[in-house]
Amino acid sequence: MSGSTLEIIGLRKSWGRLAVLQGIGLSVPGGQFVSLLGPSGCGKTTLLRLITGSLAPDAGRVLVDGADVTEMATHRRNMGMVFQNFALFPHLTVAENVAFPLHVRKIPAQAREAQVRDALAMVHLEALEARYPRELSGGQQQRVGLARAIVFRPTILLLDEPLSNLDAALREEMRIEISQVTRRLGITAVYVTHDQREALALSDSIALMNRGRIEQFGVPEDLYLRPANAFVARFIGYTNAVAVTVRPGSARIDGGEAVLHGIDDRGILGPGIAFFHPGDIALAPPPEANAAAHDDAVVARVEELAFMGDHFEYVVEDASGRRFKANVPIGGTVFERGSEVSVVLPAGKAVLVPRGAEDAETP
Amino acid sequence: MNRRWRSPLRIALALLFVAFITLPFVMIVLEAFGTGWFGMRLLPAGWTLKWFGWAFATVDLGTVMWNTVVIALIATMASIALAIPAAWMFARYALPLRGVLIGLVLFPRMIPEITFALGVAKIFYAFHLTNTRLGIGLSHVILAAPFAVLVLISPFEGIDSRLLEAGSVLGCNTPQLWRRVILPLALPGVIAAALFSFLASYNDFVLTLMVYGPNTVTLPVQTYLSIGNGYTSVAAAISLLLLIPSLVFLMGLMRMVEPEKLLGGLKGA
Ligand SMILES: Nc1ncnc2c1ncn2[C@@H]1O[C@H](COP(=O)(O)OP(=O)(O)OP(=O)(O)O)[C@@H](O)[C@H]1O
Ligand SMILES: [Mg+2]
Repeated sequence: MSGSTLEIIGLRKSWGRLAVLQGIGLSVPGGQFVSLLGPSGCGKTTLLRLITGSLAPDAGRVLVDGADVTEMATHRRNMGMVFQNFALFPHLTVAENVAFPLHVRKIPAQAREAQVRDALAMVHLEALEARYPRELSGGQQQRVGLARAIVFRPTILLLDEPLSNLDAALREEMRIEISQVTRRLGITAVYVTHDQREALALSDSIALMNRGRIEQFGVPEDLYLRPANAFVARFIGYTNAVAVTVRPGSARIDGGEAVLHGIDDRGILGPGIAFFHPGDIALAPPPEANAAAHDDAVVARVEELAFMGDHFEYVVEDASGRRFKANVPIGGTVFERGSEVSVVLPAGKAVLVPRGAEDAETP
Repeated sequence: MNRRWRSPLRIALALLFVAFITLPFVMIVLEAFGTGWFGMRLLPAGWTLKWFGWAFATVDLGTVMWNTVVIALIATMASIALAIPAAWMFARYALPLRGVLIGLVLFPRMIPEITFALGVAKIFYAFHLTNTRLGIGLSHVILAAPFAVLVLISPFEGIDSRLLEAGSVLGCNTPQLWRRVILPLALPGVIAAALFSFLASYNDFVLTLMVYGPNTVTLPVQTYLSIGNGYTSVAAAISLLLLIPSLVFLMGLMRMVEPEKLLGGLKGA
């Protein structure tokens, strides 16, 4: 079975003068797992509510399998939803909660019971079917939420930060659970999160949202290796940024002599920002003590140093106040707090984005 | 004060208060079961069931009870049916002058009953609604509905709107949402509202006195009529019988909610 396609065209929604969604377009092929990733308040939940019909858009259309459902009542849309706060019915047991969508669809008792049993088995909750939600842990409640959302084979499964009310260990476990269930059912899923690692781990594709717009839509590797702009790069997890001036094949770091030779310039010429992962930055002894001076290095001072088990986490700062985070594997030289170091920025690992007007002060 | 005496004193005070409140009721019980209870005697000289016999002999008590219960049930159903949408509106929507509107709903209960009873009676005379159980039951809605609305507002306010959203995404149309989500969640409140409505009608005297007729005598009215005839012990017996259907109704309502579900409803999501 392959899931329904979902198409969103030019969706707009304002609350008073606050334009929460400013023209969202998104096309999700059947059976795909798409994440809506973005900071708090960027409009993710609002977008989900427009998809379910809990809210009416100011403009734009929602299509499921090519059919326009924008005007269709919520209860007819046949969509499943998992809520951040679980939203289980407190007056119903686990089994009754899961049976709820079947009851309202008037599924005969026998079929209903079989489907409830299947759904509960899928989330490993058979043993708890007679409990009330308040007698369950957070993780168990969210499993019930998931079972309730899939039991009636909805066209599309929507998940609004389903893991954010769970502790770290459970989150990992539930993430795997969600991934397995959605893939086994081949259902089209739209997953809202503000955690880029969740999005990267789960998704076939990611729509990265910011202030009511989609900044970039693509497969996870695309966002990770070829972020469209500084916002995407930062949000996807690049913590180190330096302003550079790009020439074909190289980039000079602003405010210094260092040059990143052989950088992938991505066709950007002029002002840019080069991003680096903490794990890609190396530290070396300062130039005067270092025979093979690095052309691609910046001189800085060690501000913070923390032992993290398999690596040291350094925070270093250069003369102009630029900060870098570097994760250095154990076993090499250890630089004490306050000592001078060369921060080696490997051109081959740099991710370059254009520097626009809104990035004027950054990095 | 000496610490040692505090707790016995509190208990004594509590007992005194309870005795004060229940004394009139005790008097009625003594009156209904006693004989030869005159002057300054502390207790009746003897005990008897004859007043109950007299009550049944002189009055058609079966019909009176039937009248009272049917009228109270009509009043309860009508007032709940009115109160649910009204309370939902007050609880879930930002109405202009909300406080004033709620005040107006309570208005009939804030002025002397006799005042608006006159107004109700006038309307009822005009439409020839007196002397029918339906008519009197409907007239009691004005007594019962204000309490019902008031009692329902806060359970309705307490319903998490995300549960409503969940309900409709999962396939509920509006009637299903009411039946499967809203009413079960507000069940303790609905039951309390039904209870108040029933009691407001069942115990009403003033308004009923204005609109009753020979075919629609209720227990409070009959008690009054018996006192008027000089049979105080018979009136006492009637007023004790008056308690029975209302106790049955209350017990029935209590049994409708399992404690488990009551708790669930109260605790919300
Ligand atoms: N009913 C409403 N009335 C007014 N403003 C609203 C309403 N619902 C949402 N908003 C506003 O719309 C904006 C987007 O809200 P939304 O809930 O979609 O954000 P989100 O991306 O889901 O954030 P989060 O990650 O915190 O859940 C916010 O600024 C919020 O205050
Ligand atoms: Mg949200």
